[in-house]
Amino acid sequence: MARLVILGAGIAGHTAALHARRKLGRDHEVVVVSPNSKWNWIPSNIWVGVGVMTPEQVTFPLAPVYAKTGVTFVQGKATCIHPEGDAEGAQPYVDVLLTGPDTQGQSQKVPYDWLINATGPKLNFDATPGLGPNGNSLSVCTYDHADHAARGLDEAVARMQKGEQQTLLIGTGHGTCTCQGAAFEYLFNVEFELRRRGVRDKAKVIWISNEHELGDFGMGGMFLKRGGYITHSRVFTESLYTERGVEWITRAGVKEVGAREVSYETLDGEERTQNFDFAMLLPPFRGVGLSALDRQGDDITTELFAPNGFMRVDADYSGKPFEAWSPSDWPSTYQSPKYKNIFAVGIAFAPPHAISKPMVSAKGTPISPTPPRTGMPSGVMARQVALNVVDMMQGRATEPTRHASMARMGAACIASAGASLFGGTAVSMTMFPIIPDFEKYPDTGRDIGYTSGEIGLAGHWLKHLLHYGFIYKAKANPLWVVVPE
Amino acid sequence: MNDDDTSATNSGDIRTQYGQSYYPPVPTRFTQALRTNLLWQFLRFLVINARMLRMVRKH
Repeated sequence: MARLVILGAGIAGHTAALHARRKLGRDHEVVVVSPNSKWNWIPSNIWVGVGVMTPEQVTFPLAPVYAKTGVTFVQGKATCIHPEGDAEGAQPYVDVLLTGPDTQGQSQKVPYDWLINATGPKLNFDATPGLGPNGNSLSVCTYDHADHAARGLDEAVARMQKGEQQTLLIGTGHGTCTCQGAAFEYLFNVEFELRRRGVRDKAKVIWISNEHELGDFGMGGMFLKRGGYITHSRVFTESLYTERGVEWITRAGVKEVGAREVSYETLDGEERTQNFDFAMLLPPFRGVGLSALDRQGDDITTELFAPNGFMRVDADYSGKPFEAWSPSDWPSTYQSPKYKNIFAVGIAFAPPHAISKPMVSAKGTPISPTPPRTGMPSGVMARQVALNVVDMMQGRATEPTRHASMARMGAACIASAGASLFGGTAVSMTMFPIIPDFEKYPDTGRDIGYTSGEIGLAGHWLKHLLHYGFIYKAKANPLWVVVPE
Repeated sequence: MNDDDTSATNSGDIRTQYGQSYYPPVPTRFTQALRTNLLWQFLRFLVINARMLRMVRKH
């Protein structure tokens, strides 16, 4: 009997657990370690953040699903990996600080034979003074944060209904943020709600972002075939902002969030400020802070993890200049180069470099997006890694045989721009590959035949269907496996 | 907003176009109406689904 331990129960970790459990016989054990008792369909948090959904609609308890599927659930936070065991024995294990209601504060050793790290990010609000729900801005990164943001929005709307003018600032709260797409969705859902609640004329809505141009989304933008032209996503994004009367500040690294004002630095080195009455600013991400010790108890964290706290896998971390980037730099098996029984998927793996070109201000401050690796790619790589591990656990393979490089993978994305069954809209996008390949597609970096984008009500219907479809799948209901990642 | 990127429509004064170097396209009313037209959007729903399934099959 072998034991697979999965750290994290988000989109990547939960997907890996369900696929591994489905394929492994009962003579092998699958263990999930997660500090959270609930699974959260994070893409719908933006609807919680404007009050059109409740936290209960985007979450469900994990324990009953794991009890049903035969997965062992340990509610706790992994703190340290011992990949060689310790002085008492060679069995690898993970130190876990338990977080359940009855076990809070206790620690537990969780032994493993195979380990998948899917811990996701630490929301690094501390990187910017005043950033976050404990400071002066709001967030939609968790369902609790989003619920808090909805109440903040209600208060701002109430002030507008009394005749006050309000400035709403939405975007990224640091020069190295990722997930611009989530902030983009929240921006346009807020703008839509303001119109629906009849106070749009009282609101000045401003986007602030570390992107070099609108439409970058941390993906270096993309080229689309539309109306007989091949056009950059910047054009369509600026069109939407203009149509909805949203102002924008790009190339900005937020340095401090005050009670009613953000200070930011621009790429040309200027220090500027922007006042606000309501601010939703995303934090930068970093690894969750896992450490690692070898058998002698010596710290080997830097051998397993990159300086940003994400886990090193089969990628090229040599730090090439932008001009030398290659699709082959990106990992395909997500296997640790040092310990072959350890893998990292989703946000937990360390990307070899950004997708958007790195930019540094005249004062030396990095102001450009770090690469997104959430949603569909997270699910796909989690499934492939889980199936590889299953093959090795069952003796059918000695090394990973399936590959899931983001440079060979496409993505479909629906970005909500207003939630309403008949009046809502969303941007439906597809792209292939996620990592631009200028060797294969020298003009655009991606296959124009597979890269598309359009806005309309159909996108909203689809996003709504995906909400229910993915929650159905995550609950491991009958035929869940036919719902694609 | 970047000074050289201000759109005429966004600034509310079309005459400022002589001071600009770039103008985002703005959809016509017809284009906007199509975005929420039920019949057209039902067709687009089928097309988008087909496009995404094609993407899923590619990997």
